[in-house]
Amino acid sequence: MAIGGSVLSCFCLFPFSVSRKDKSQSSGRSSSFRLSNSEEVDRISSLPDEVICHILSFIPTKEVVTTSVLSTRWRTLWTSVLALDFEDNWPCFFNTNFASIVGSILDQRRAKSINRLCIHNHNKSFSIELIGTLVSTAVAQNLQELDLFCYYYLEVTLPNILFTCKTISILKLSFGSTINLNGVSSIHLPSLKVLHLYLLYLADDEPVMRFFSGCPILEELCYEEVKSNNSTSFKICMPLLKKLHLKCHDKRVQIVTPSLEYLQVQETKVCDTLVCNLPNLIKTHVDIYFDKCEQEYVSKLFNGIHHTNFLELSTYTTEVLADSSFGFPEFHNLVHLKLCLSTIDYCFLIQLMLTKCPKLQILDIDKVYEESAERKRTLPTTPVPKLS
Amino acid sequence: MAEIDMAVIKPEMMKPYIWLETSDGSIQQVEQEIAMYCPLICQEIIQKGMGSSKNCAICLPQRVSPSTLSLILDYCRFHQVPGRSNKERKSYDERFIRMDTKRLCELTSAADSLQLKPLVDLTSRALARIIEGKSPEEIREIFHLPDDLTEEEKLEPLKNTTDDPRIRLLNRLYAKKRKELKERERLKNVEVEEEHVDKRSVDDLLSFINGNDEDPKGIKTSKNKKKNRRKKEQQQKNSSLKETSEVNKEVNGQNIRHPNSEADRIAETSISNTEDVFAHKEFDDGDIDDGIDPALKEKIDREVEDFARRLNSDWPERMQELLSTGQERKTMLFTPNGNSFIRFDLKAPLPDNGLERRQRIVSLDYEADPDTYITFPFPVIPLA
Repeated sequence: MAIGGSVLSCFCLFPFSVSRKDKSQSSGRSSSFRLSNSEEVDRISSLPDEVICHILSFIPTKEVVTTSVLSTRWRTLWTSVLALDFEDNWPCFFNTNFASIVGSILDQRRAKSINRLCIHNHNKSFSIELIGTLVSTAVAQNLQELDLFCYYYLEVTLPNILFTCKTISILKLSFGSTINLNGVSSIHLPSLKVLHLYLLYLADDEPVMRFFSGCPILEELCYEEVKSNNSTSFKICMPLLKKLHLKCHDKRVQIVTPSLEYLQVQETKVCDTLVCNLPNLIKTHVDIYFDKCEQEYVSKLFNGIHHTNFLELSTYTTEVLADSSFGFPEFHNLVHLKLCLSTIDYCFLIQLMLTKCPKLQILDIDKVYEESAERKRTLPTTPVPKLS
Repeated sequence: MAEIDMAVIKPEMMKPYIWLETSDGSIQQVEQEIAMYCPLICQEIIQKGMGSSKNCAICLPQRVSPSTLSLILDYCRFHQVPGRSNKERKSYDERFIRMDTKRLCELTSAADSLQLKPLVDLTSRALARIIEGKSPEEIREIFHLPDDLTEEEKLEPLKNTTDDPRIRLLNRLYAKKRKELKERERLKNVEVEEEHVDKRSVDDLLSFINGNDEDPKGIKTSKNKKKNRRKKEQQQKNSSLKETSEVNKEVNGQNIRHPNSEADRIAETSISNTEDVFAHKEFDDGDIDDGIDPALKEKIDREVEDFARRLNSDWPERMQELLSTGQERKTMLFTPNGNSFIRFDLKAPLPDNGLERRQRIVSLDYEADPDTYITFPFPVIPLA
């Protein structure tokens, strides 16, 4: 992407056109207007406005604006699209003027609400103030989904109004830098269902706790690579949470989520009562590491997840498990087991697991370091075959 | 007997059916539970009690053709089964959506009229994937859209959202100036027609895009600074306009509306002197020698100053002059002469050309109708 780079190369790339309405021509229209061969009828324009705007809401804003030159029907359709999606590919001649481009787009929009605001930015096009303004504007216009994936900043402060937004249901934040939540006095997001926090730094954990407690109906939480200076333990206590994706190296996390159906735990330090009892669990991916002295924590973890229907254990986990003499609980619902193995001998582990899974139907074994990967073998439901 | 029993028992064991009538008048039977997946049909059945027999078949909206209906019913048939996993549904959807764009549009339309939101989402996303990343020409090709916008409409300031916003502001100001001048023209009605050949030099319009870091508030700056700046501008323009000079020629050639030989000559010289950039400085009222109303002129001057103040700091002062002199209806050659400038009308001979002379042709086409103002031949056309 050429930002402010060679301006003239941009000129050469784009089609040139001189505006001239010559009266001698027939109303200046181009001659490529084709008519009703039934194969060539324009069908998309006959869709109602709302549907076309719905289609356009899945496309980045830059391309949405360019649909205004397609035909007369499309000329102002873009102004009613309810989503704003700013990706990195804006050809800004001057970085500093990007704010005015964004401003002019907002000005020309006719729609009164912004359902979705998505900013994916990896360079300096967006200043923090601009992001803040956009977020505030969107929040005031019934924002439902916010997706900020912006790098290149030292510290990020989001407007407070975002944290008391009543309409937002999907919030995804990823900054690669510190996010300053200290100035946020209260966090109350009554509609928030999906929260993704990825690659953030926090001063300490307390705002995160407030965050979690301010989202009463949260159903999906992705908490990955969030680091803070004070590495204490914290609790994820959400009664309605259905999907949890956890990846944090340095913290001790307690998960108290009785409704959980999908759990993915990656590179997380095992600690006491990591996972409470999860009766509704359907799918579990476990990728943890632990020392020999922490075995009882691990057994508690497995106790917590033993209701699951599908279990996948990563190579790290299986390595450590194979080493130790580990007492698995019985996985009475487990139907599909996937083990990712490396090179050491796993016979014992596999046998152990098979004895603990009475209803097992599918066993997936992925051997990572060998050439041949042994794939699915469907087992009969009742007898557990003995491995030779 | 057995047959009669069978005939009697069978209807009770069959699933309830619903009668649907499509836009072409044909009526068909559909299992009720499948048809109920569509909210509109569901509504018709429950609220209005329709569809239970052939006579009161539910009339489907006009956008639902029989072939589309069968597609929709396939979709409903699959998805209304509760026991399917998300993975299964997703892979079914992906296979389902593979069809040509014409049918996809029809399907979207039909699903929307039946208020079947999941299918509308699915088809909309598929259409969005088709549209994304394509140039306007390609999109028109795929969907057979009529290319019925004039070139000018394609270049309208609306499109400048993808471009430098100062172009857009400039366009607006030009439009405003034009309107004012038109009014004056109507009132006065004494100007010489052929002197209205005006042509805006494209170089100047292009130049500010290239980031000349000039001080925009330079109306009253000192002459020395102006001279230095002019030199700098010239150098910048030299380097930046080489590539566009050809296009300029084409543009300038097309934009001359009056076959005035003087205008041609001036146009020629402007082309040959593309490197020369004029930097007009002061605009003394004392130099006005035509019938321009000084009060209006002052007002316009003030507006221009306002405009300059509001713009970014690197707004080149040349553009400011352009705006302030744009209201003149004569073709003018400006020769900087200290703080003032000398204007020539077309009949006058060109002043002697020193090496340092810069000239610029300012022209606005007031003669032609409002829509023929020269917009910037900038790449405001949406980018491929």
